[in-house]
Amino acid sequence: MMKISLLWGQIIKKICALLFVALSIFASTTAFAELEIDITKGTVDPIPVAIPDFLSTHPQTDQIAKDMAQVIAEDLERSGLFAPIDQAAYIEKQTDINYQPRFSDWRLINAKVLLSGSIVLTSGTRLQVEFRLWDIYGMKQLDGLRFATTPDNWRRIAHKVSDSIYKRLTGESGYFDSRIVYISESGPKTMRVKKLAIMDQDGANPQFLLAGADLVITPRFSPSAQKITYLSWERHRRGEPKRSQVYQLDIESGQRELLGDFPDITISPRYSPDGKKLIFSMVKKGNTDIYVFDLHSRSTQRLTTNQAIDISPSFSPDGKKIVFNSNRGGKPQIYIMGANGKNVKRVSFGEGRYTAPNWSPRGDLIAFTKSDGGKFHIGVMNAKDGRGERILTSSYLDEGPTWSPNGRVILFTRETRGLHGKVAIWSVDLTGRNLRKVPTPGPASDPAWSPILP
Amino acid sequence: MKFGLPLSFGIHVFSVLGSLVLWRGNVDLEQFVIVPVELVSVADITDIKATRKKPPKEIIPDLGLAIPEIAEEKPSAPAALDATEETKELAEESPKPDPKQSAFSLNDFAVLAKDARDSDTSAGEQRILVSEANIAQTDQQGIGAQSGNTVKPQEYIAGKLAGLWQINDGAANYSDLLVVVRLYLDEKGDIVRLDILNEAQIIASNNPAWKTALENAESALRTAAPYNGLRSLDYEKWKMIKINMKPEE
Repeated sequence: MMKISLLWGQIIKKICALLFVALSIFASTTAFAELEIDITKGTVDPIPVAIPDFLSTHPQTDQIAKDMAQVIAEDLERSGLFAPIDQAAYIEKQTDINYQPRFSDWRLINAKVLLSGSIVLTSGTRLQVEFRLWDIYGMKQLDGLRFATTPDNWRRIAHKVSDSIYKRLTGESGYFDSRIVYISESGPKTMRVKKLAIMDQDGANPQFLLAGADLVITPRFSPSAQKITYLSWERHRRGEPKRSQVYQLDIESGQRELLGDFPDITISPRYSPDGKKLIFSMVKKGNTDIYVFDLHSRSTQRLTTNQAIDISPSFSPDGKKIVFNSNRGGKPQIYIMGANGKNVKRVSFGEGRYTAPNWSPRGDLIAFTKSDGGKFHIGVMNAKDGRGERILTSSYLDEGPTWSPNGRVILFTRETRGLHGKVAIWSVDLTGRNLRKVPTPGPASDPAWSPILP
Repeated sequence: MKFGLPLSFGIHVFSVLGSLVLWRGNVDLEQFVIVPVELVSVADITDIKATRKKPPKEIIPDLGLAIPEIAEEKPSAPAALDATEETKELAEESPKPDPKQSAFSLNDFAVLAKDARDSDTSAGEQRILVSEANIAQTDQQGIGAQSGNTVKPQEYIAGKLAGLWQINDGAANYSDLLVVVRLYLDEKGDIVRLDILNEAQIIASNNPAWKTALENAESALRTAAPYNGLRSLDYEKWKMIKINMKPEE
């Protein structure tokens, strides 16, 4: 009996000790319990930016100072991420960009960011452009750069300033100092003349790259932005019928070169990320497969051997994978394979027909054209597994997506219904909220965006 | 510890019984008086004039008989206010009382009022109000009771940040750009210190948009300050807040 009572006593002691420890732990955790909050909702409204005219020290640069501010404001506004504030609302008139602005004056007009810049004409022939970017609420300078150029190059400097602002405020590279190569169309739909043309990304400085009235399609920039590859329907030799051939054009010199004399029809050439190869489809004996053409050795390697139609290949930014379009599953769908043509995997499984896939320079998404329900759409999907499909645009005919250098905006061709339907280049950002028509001198199609210019 | 087991048993029995007694308590059912609620329909029936027409006078044919005279009786006052239609009709039909009996003389009233004023010596003084509102010395019921109508710190801070926190929803993997912040606040809701808890992860990341997301989060938190809408009595609860800022897809 004595032993039992002793045993009970010990057990109770141990239980009490355990309870005490548990209570202590509970008390300590509750005493230091931290309030934890999950914030998931913010604003996606454009950032209000104040962009006064640049300060000019010379009458010769007065107009450039105004125009430069306007080009920057237009660049930023077009991105959909920034909302330039009307200059009429500005309270402070800066006289020197090297002095800190009166932040309260800019807060009054709800500006979050202020750009102040100046232009100095040095040695009579060169422009020196400076800018400072101010955080109005943080009351600090965010960025400051200086560029030097010739006066006729002021637009590029304006685009470079826009790129700097974009990068500083979004973390991503800008895309304003870039160009677009496209097909300028004229004549009736049944007898269209398609000419190769180029312009700045904002539609400025449009010009034809080739003379003549040949039928040119699918131009693509090289990674260096110095060369363009395209397809041209030409009679290569006297007496032969016209057929599509792959050409390469040097933009600076205007020199063009026939890349391989392929007896068969070639379709949709595109450069590899290192610029050393071209990838395209070729129709051989009624079968369309994907080929790689080495620009140095001029040799061709076949990548797909399927009986189906394999077209529209596009390299991933790292050059390790290729996305393409094939009807091997019954109807056109999107597939991914290794750069050597192995490990083919289907990534699109939705309703409709998927065509013209294009890998984003960021590497995370694939843009495509989809036809479904009597309409054409431009959409994106995850490059990893094809999930997360998002349709960005829909119309009678939207096709041929091409990415901005930073992988944020997509250009595509939109054509309206009917024999006299109009064809134009449009842009949409990844959110689908910022859909705009790109200004071109006339009907335009098949755009390709250059990388950021060197 | 010889009697440890029985002692423990006794304590347990005592505590169980005690808790049962306490649990039962003294519930006085009488204090819950059920007040019957009657459906009362209000009507202005007392103001409605009688609509029943007076019956036409009976024409008695002259048979040459003498009609005996009946002495006219004075009408009696109605017994109750809730006069029925019938009684009202009767009241209308009854002859009107002599106006001299209910005459109201303004002169008499003025004399009475003057007498009353003369007898009250303090009538001309300005009286001090004694029934002014008491200063609230206790919390009003429901206010700050953390009920459903009281905003929670989470909701308050989320509301303040919603319009200020810039989300770049086109950035690569933007919904993965988590920024974890520890906010130290003083009693007025001003920021004393702001620590980015996953700063090393963000700096090491190759996603440049993440660094901007960090800046945007910090800027929004600082612009939204002071957080003076938080309940001061709960300062101990919100003096240190961990905030996970992660845009939803």
